[in-house]
Amino acid sequence: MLRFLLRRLGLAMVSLWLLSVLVFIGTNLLPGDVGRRILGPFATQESVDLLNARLGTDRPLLTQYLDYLGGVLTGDLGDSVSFARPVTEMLGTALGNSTKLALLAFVMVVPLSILGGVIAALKRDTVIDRSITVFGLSATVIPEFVSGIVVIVIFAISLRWLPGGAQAPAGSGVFEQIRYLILPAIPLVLVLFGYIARITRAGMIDALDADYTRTATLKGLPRRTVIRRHVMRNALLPTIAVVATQVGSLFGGLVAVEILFNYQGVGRLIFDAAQKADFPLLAGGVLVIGVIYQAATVLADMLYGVLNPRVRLGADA
Amino acid sequence: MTTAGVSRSQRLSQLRGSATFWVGASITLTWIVFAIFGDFVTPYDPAGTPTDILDRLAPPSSEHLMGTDSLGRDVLSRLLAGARQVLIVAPAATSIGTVAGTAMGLVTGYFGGWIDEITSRILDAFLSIPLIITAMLVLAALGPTTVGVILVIGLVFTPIIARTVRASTLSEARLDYVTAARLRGEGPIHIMFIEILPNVMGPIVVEFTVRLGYAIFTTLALSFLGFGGDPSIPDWGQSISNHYVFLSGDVWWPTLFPALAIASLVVGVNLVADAIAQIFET
Amino acid sequence: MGDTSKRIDEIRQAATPVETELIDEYMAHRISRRDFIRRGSIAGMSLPVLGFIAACGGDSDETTTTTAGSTDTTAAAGDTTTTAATSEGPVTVRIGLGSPAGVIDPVLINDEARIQFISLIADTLTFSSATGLRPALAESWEPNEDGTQWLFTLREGLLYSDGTPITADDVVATFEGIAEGNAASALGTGALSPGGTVAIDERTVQFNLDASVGAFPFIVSSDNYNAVILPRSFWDSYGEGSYEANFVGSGPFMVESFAPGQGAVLVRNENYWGPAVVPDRVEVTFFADGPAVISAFQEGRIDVIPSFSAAEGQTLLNDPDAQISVIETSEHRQIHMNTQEGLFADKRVRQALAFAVNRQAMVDGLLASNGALGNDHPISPLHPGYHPDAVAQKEEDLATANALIDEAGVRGAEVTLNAPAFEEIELLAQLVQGAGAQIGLTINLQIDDQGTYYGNYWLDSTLGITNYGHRGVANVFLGAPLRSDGTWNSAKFNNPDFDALVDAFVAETDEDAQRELGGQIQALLWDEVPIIIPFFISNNSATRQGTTGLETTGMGHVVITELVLGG
Repeated sequence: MLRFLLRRLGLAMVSLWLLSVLVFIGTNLLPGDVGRRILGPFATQESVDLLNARLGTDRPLLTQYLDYLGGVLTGDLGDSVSFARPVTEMLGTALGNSTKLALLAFVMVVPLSILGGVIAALKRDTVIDRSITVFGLSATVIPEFVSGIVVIVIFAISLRWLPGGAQAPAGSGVFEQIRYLILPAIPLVLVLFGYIARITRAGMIDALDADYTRTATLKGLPRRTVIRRHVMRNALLPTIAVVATQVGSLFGGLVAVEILFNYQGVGRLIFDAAQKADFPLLAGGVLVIGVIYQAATVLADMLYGVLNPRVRLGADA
Repeated sequence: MTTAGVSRSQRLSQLRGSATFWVGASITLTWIVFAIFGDFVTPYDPAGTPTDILDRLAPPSSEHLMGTDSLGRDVLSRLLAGARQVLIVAPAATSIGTVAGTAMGLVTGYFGGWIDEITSRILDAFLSIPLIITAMLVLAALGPTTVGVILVIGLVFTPIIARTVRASTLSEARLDYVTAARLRGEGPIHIMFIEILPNVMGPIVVEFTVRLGYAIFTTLALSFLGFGGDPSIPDWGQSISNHYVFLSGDVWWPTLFPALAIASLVVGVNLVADAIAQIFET
Repeated sequence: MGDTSKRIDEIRQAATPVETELIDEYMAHRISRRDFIRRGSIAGMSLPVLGFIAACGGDSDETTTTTAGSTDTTAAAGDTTTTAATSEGPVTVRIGLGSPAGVIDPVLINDEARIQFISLIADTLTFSSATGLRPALAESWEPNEDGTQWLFTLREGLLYSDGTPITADDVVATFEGIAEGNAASALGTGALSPGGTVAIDERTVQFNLDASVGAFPFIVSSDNYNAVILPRSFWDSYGEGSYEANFVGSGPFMVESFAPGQGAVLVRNENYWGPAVVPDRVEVTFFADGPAVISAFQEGRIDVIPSFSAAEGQTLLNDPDAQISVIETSEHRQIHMNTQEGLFADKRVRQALAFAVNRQAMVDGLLASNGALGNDHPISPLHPGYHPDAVAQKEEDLATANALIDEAGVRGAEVTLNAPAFEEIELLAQLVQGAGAQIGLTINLQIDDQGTYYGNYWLDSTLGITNYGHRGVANVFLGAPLRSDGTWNSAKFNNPDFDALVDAFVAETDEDAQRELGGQIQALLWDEVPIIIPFFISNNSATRQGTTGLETTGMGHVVITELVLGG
C-alpha cells in the first residue's frame, strides 16, 4: 500500500512539474507589451520601458523560468502584475470563495445523483430509468452559462426568491452566504448530476447482476437488506472515484459561473488574469487548479485502494 | 474482416431501434440543414442594416417572431444563421483532435516503453487543467479568432482521444494477427495504420461522437467568454454574452432563444453519441 | 440698486484685465450666465463674487444645469438634509463600480472604475464639475498677465485622513512626481516641467509653466485625476501599488478594508475639509462588467451606479424604480484611419467612410438619445473655444460617399477594424462595418480585450476605435491624438497647419479669439478626417427614486457627501 501511494505521489509530482513548464510556455506566448497593458494607453513610452525592465519581462525565457520555479518551490508565486499584490494572497481569497461554491454544489449533487442512479438501476429499463438517464445526460451536456441564465431568469428575476449575484454583502453569516450561493451552484449541480448518476447506475447494475447478490437473494435475505449490505457497498466504489475526478471539470465550470454571477473565485481570477496578461497570477491560478486536481485523484485512488483490496494487489503489476 | 461486417450491420439495426438515437438525430439534422441553407430561409439579413438600431431590443411581434437584438437585428434570422458557426467549428476541431489523437494513441500504444511513459505524463499534466482554462490560456496568446478556437479545441482533444486509442491498441498489439504481420516483415507504420487501425475504429467512432458534444459545449462557452472572434458573425454563445444583461429588464428574447438553441443542439448530438456508445459497449 | 453698482465697481477695480472684460461682457448680455461662471472660475474669481455678479445682471439664462432625463439629482446637491443624521443607526451607501484595471494607485489610474474610487478618498486642488470649476483643496488661484505663472492658495487647516497636515510642499511633491513622468497622467505634454512647481509658503504654491495655458486651473483639477494631492512621504517612498498600504487621502471617506478586485468598505473621514458628510459608511463593489452592475442595482444589492453605458443599460433607462441622471460630457470614441499608408492614405476614402456612418441613428439607438452628434473634431459644444457655426453637421450621405469611393477607385477593398471590448464599442464597430458595406468596403472586425488592443493595435492599425474619456478643455484631445508629434496619434496625422493652430489655440487666453481658432481647427479636421467622431456620450447615473445629493462628473468623479438614499 505504501509503495503504491509513493509511486502515485511521485507520478503526481512529475505531472505537476510538467504542468509548470506547459503553463510557463503558454503564458509567455501571450502577445503584446506587458508594461503597456498595465500602464494603459495614456502612459508615456519611457514609463512603459521602465516598468518592463523592472518586471524582468525582457530577460531570457530560461532565466525567467528557473526564477519562477525556484519561487514556486518555496511557496512564492510572485506578485500579480496588475494588482501589485502577492499571487498567493490573491489566490487564497479566491480559492476560499470557490471552495465555498464548489462544496455547496457537491453537498447538493452527491446525494441527489446517487439517489438518482440507485433508483434508475432498481427500476432498470422502465420509463423512470429512461427519464433519469436522459435528463441526466441532457443536464450534463448543457453549458453552465445556459442553465445559469435559465435559473437567473426563473428564480432571481421572475420569482425574486434568491439573489442573482453570488457575492453576499461583507460580514454576512453562513446562512446568508449559502442563500447567495444556491443559484450559482445549480448549473454546477446539473453538469455533475448526469455523470455521477450514470456511474452509480452502472455500478448498481453490475452489483445487482453479480453472483454474491444472487447468492444473498437465494439465501432468503429481504431485498432491502441485500441492496443495502451487498449491492450499495460495491456499487458506490466507482462512484467515489468519479466524484473525485470531477473536481477538475468542476473548476472549469466555475469560470463561466463565476463570471455570470459576479463571484470573486479562482475561475474569475484566472479569466481576469488571462485578459490582463497578468502572467504570475495566471500561472499561479492554473498551477493551483492542477495541484487540486492531482490531490483529488491521488485521494480517489487511495480511497479506491482502501475500499477495494483487488486494486491494492494489482497496483504493482 | 467478415466478422466485423456482420457486427456492423447488427449495430446499425440496433441503432435503428433506439428511440433516443432518432430523437437526437432529427434534432441534429435539423440544425445541420439550417447551417447549410440558413441563408435562404432567414426572414431578414442576419447582418442587419445600419438603421436597424433604431428598433433595438423590440419584443417578439408578427414582424420579428423572436424580437430584435441590441443592434436591432432580427433574433430569429441570427439564430438560424448562427447554427453554421458552431457546426463548422466543433466538427472541424473534433476531426483535428481525432486524427492527431489516433496517430498519437497508435504510436504510444504500439511501441509502449519510455515513449508511452513520457507521453502519459505529459497527457496527465495536460488533463489536470480543465479544458476551458487551457483553451483560454492558448486563445489569450493566439487572439480570439475562429481558427484559433478550432485549433485549441483540437489540441486539447488530442491527448484525450490518444488515451482511448492507446488503451485499445495495447490490447490489439498482443493479438496473433499483429505478431503474424510482424513475422511477415511489415513495418510499424503498416502494422499500426493498416492492421490495427481498422480494429480500433469502434472506440474511435465513440470518442468522436462524444467529443463532438464536448466541442460544441466548449466552442459556445468560449464565445460566451468573449473568445469567439468577429462579433458580426452570428453566434449563439456571443448572442447570450452580449444580451444577458438585458434579462433583468425583462428583455429575455435575445438570450433565451439562443440558449434554447444551444440546449437542443448539445442534447441532440449527445443523444446520438450516447446511442452509438451503448451499441459499441454491449 | 445703487449699492449693487457700487459693489460691482469695487470688484472691477480689484479685478485683473481678463476679469474686468468678463464682467463687462456679462453685464452687457454678451455672454450667458453659465459661460460667465465658467470663465470667471477659470480666471480665479471667487465663487461668492461670481455668484453676486451673476445674480445682478446679464441675461436670465437659467438653464445652467446640464442635467436632463426624468429627474435632476445634481440640482439637489445643495440641499442639506437633517433626516439622515437622526435616522436609526449608521447610514451605509452601496455603490457599484466597474472592474479596476489594476492596482489602486493614483499614479497609474486611467480607467473609470479607479477614477471613481479615488474620487471618494482623495481630492485635487480644484474640482471640475458639470457646471464649472470650483475650489477644492485650493481656496483661490490667480494667473499672471500672460497665463504662464499661476499662484494657488490652499485652504487653512487642511488635514489628511491620518491627521497629518496638507502643505504646499506636498503639492510640489505631487506635481514633481507627475512631471517627472511617474504618472500615466492626463496632464498632457508641455505645460509643466520638473522644477516648475515651487512652494512659496505653507499654503501657497506657484506653478511656472513652459507656455501660456489659459485653462491651467483645469489641468490641476479633478479632470486630471492623477493629480490628487498626496504627502511628500508617499512620493519619497513611492512604489507601484504602495498606495494600497494605507490609502491616505484628503477626500470625504477613508478606506476601512479593501479586497483587490472585489470591493472596499469606506468610512467617513473625520478630518475632511468640506461640508459635513452625510453617509457614515460606503460599501464599494467592483463588478466584472456593466451588465453585472445593472443587474445588482435592479435586484437591490446596490444603491448607486455613478456611471453606466446607455447601450448596456437600456433596461435601466426604462425602469420606473430607477432615477436616472444624465450629464453631457465630452467623452467620445475616435474612429481613427491611418492617414499615411494603406486604404485611408487617400483623403477621399476617409471622407467617404465619414459620410457613410449614420450618426443620428447611432445617437438615438446606441446611446438611447443620451448623447450629442459628433462632427469629426474633438472640440465638444461643452468646451471653451467651440465654434457652433464653423462647419455643417455631417450626415449620412451615401451618394457623396459612393462617388468618393469610385473617384478613389477602391470599391471592393478589404480592411480590418481593430477595437477594444468596452461598453458600446463592439456595437459601434459593427455599425461601422455596416456603413462600409454600403459603400463597397469590406470591413472585418477584430475585437480584443482592452489590454490587447492598447498593447498591440491602438497605435498600429489601419482602422481602429479608441475611447476617450471626458476632459473639461479640448487641449489633450487636440494634442496627443492629432498633433504630428502626438504620442497617441494612431491616425498618424501629420499636418503642420493643424499643429500651428493647436499651439495658438492652447495658448490663447481670450475666449473670442480662441473660438475663432477653434472654428478653424474644426473646419480643418472636418475636411481632412483623420478621425471620425460620430458622437459625444452623456454620463448616466442611477439611484433609486427619491434619492438626493448624488453628483457625478463627465470624468467619472463621484460626490456623495450629501447623499440621502430614497426608495
